[in-house]
Amino acid sequence: MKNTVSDELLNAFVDDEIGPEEKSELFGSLEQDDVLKMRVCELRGLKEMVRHAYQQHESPKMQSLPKMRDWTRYVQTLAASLFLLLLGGILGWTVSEKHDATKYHKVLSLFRVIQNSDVKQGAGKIIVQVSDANPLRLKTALDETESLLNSYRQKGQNLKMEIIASGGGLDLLRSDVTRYRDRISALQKEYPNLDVVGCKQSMDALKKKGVVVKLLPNVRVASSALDEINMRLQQGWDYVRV
Amino acid sequence: MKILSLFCQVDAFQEQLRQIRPKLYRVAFSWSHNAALSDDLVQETLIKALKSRNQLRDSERMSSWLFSILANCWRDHFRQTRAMEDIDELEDHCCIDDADPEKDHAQLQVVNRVQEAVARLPMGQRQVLTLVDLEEFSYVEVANILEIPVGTVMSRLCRARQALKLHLQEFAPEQPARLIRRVI
Repeated sequence: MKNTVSDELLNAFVDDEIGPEEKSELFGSLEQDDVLKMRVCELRGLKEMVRHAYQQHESPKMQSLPKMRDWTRYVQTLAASLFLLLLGGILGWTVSEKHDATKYHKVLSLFRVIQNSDVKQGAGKIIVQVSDANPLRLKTALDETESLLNSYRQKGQNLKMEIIASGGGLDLLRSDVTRYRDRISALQKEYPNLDVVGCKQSMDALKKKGVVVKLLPNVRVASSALDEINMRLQQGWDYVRV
Repeated sequence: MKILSLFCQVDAFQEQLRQIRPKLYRVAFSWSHNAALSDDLVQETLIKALKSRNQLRDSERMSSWLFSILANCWRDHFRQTRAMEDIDELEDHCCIDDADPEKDHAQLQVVNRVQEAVARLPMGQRQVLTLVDLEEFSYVEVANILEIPVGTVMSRLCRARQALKLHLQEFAPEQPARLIRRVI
C-alpha cells in the first residue's frame, strides 16, 4: 500500500468515514510508512486548526426571533393558563363527575388550539415587525410576507398579514426614502388581506430630530409598534420580527 | 399531569432552534467571515425553519435540515448580491483587509491565519470543509445538506485541505532574515 493511498482515502480515514477492514489495512500501512504517517498527521493537524479557528465564534447578539418568540410563547401560555382556569371552573360547576373524561378531552383540544397559533389549518394571522433599516431586513420582510401570502393563497387558505415598521424599519414606508414604493403598492393591490402599518412613536422621534416624515399612501399609523403587536398577540396573531 | 407536561413542552421545536443557533452562526461565519451577515443568515434560516416546521418529519434530522436551509439562504444571498450562476467555485475575499496594520499584526496568530486561509477557499470547498470539521457531519449528511453527490463531497474536501495547507504555508510568519556581516 506504500505510496498508493489516495488523498481521498486518507481524508476519509481522518474523518472516520471508512469501514473497519480498510481502517485495519491503513493502520498496518501506517506502521511501516513514515511518509504516510506524516500525511495523516498533517490532515489531523489541519482539521484541528480549522476547529480551533472557529471555536470561539458566537453570535454577537442574540437576535430577536427566538427571544421574541419567547414572548409570544409566554403570552400564549398565560392565555392558556387563564383559559384553563376559567374553563376548569365552569366545567367543575356545571358538569358532573361521570363526565370527567370528556371534560379532560375538551380541555386538551382547546388548549392545543390556543397553543398552535403558529400554523392554523383554517386561517392564519401573522404580524411581521421590521425595526431595522438594514436593506437586507427590509427586503426579507417583504419577501417573506409575499411568500407567505402566496403560499396560503395557493393552498386556498386564508391568511391575514400585517407589516409593522418601527425604528429604522420605518425607512421601508417613508415615501422619500423607500426603494419599495412600487412593490408595496403592488402587494397591497394583490393582497387586500395585507395591512401595512407605521409606528407613530418612531415617526415622532424622527420629527423631533427635524426629519419630515411622510409615509406611503394606504399606510395605517398605529400609536406604537409595541401596542399594535401586543393587541395582535392578544387577538391570537402570530408574531415574527425580521 | 398531562396538562402540566404540555406546559413543560410548550414548544420543544423552538428550544431546539435555540440550542442549535450558535452552531448555525459558527458555520455561517466560517462561510462569510462577516459577523452581521452571519447573524442575518441565521435569522433568515430560523424564520424559514419556523415557517416550514411541518416539513420536518424526523426530529433526529433537525440539525442537517437546518443546515440545508442555511446553505440555501447562503446561496440565495449570493444570487441576490452577485450576478452569478454557481457559487461552488467562487473565491470570496471580502473579509480580507490588507490595509489594516493592526490586522496585519493579528494575522500572525494562528486563528486569523486559518480563517484567512479558509476564506481563500472556493465556496464549495469551504462549505464542505466547515461542515465536516466544525459540525462533524458525515459525508452523506454533507451531501444531503448541499445537495451534491458524496463523491463530490470527498473530492472537494480533499482539494480544500490541500489548498488550506498551501495557504497556511503562504501566510506563515516569515523567519527573521539572518544578518550576515561580511568581515574583510
